[in-house]
Amino acid sequence: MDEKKEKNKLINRLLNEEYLNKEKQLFDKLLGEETIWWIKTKELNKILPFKLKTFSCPFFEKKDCRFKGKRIINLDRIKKCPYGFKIIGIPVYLNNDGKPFSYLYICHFSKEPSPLAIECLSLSLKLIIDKLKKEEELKEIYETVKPRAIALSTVHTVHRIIASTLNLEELLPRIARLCLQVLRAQKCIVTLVDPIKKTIIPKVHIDLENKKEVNLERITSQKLKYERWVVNNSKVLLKKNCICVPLIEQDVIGTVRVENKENRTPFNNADKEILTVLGEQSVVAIKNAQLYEERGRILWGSIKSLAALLDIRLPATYTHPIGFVEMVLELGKELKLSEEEMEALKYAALLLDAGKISIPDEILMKPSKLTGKEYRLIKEHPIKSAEILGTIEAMKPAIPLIMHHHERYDGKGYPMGLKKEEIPLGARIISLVDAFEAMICKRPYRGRSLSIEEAIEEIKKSSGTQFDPLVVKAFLKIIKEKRIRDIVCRMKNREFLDVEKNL
Amino acid sequence: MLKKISKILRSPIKKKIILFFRENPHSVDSVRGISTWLNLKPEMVRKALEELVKEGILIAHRGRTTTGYAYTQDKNILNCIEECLSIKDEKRSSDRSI
Repeated sequence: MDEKKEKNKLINRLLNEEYLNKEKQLFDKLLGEETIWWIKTKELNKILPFKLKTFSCPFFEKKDCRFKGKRIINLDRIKKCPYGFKIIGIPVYLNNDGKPFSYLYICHFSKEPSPLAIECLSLSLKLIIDKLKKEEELKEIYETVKPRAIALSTVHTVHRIIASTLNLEELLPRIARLCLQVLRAQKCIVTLVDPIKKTIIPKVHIDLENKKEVNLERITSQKLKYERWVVNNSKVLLKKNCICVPLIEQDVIGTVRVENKENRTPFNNADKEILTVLGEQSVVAIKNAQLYEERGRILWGSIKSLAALLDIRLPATYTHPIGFVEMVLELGKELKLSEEEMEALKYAALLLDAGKISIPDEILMKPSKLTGKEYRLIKEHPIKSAEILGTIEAMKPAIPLIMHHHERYDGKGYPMGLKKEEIPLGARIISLVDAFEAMICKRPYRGRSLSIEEAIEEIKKSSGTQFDPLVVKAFLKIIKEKRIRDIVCRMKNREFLDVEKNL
Repeated sequence: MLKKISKILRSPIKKKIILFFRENPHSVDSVRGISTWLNLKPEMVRKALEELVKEGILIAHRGRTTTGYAYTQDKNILNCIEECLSIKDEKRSSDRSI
């Protein structure tokens, strides 16, 4: 801050300082109640009266005590007051770091002060000024640090929000919304670069001005000219109404572009820095999500391979048709399962009967009623499935669902006889769809399969006994939808095909 | 809308929160962060923040473990807030002059 401004600030604060008021009240007792205190401000080349609320100044009000001349006052000794003839005053230096920057002038006192009293006043003024300076410094630090601390907190919060999802579909719009928010911009486009085709693919486009859902297919390559420049040059593009930053992870993996500031002011370097930081955070999150998706694809591929292997051995015995998995997932969605729960549900639904591999084929294919021993063997298959699949780390969340998918809501199921909420929700879902599938598809031990409507009636009847009423309610709600009916048809048809094949 | 916002501004906590975001419109912060800046109890701030989200004055960016609260970008709401605050300022200065 320049010296002049600093002095003015200090003087202004001094004029409003409560301790100076108190000081005056104290010294008034020594010097007489009608003293006038003045503070000199060199820059204005005039003396400002330091008036106190409690103090009345008859001289001032009568305009007898008024600054008229521009005389240079010798500050080394008690001088005549420059505002009134024959009036004696005391000038007291106001020092800043040992250098006088102004002085306080006391006049119209009735009792002459002792040199000790003036020294005391000088010392206490020094303490007040030091205190004010400290306060000012603290205020400045606070004013400088606070916005930075708030900005840092924003960066931290944004990082936590971005990093909390590994779902790319959820992540990219989240990045766009946060960029709009932090930059107070109206439009944001997030793109990803296809590393094989070397093309820029728009992934999210949010336009707050038009409040319309923007169709990504409408974004032609012509409209991505800024992105192309940014990808080709790996540099940030700053224009008056837009900033486009590259998302760099070794190569450019995408871009984020924001447009049109809310208050219509042009984007500046500070905005560029902020968006660059957001871009850097986004890269890590996007990369993590992409790796997670890749891991999921590999895992799902492995599980499907395993299912295919089991299918080759004895079709439609150890695995369920893909329609079954779809139906289970639809119910999970209806019951608002989390992302992780949905994933576990998906894996469990495809391989829940893998443990049947330990049961002899003749029992599995037996058309007549099973003996007690045979039924006991059948009842062990959830445990066997859990044992086989439990060795795969990624399958661990699915194991409780596999283990308990033959439990009944009333506790009469197997293998552990769990009831109600003791049974994991995913297992309660699978249990219902498993029974529904068994009813609508042909089974070696049953002559005729039920129609879809008949099966729905059976499910209704078993609500609260075999099945969780909550799951039944969700099932009855979604089964009305055409989309779900199509899934059910796929489930049923797959069974027919398999039967045909067996024949 | 003007009436609604005027009513909201009567709550000292909500007013403090609105003024914070008005001063720092770029901010996206958690309950903990905002309560630190405003020197208020987090439980009180959380409740007020959620109510302001319902009113459309704030936007909640919800992550799995954190929710970031930010100032709305809806121009109508922003204009109404400005209007309400300027009315209050005018009223205060006229009261003072009386």
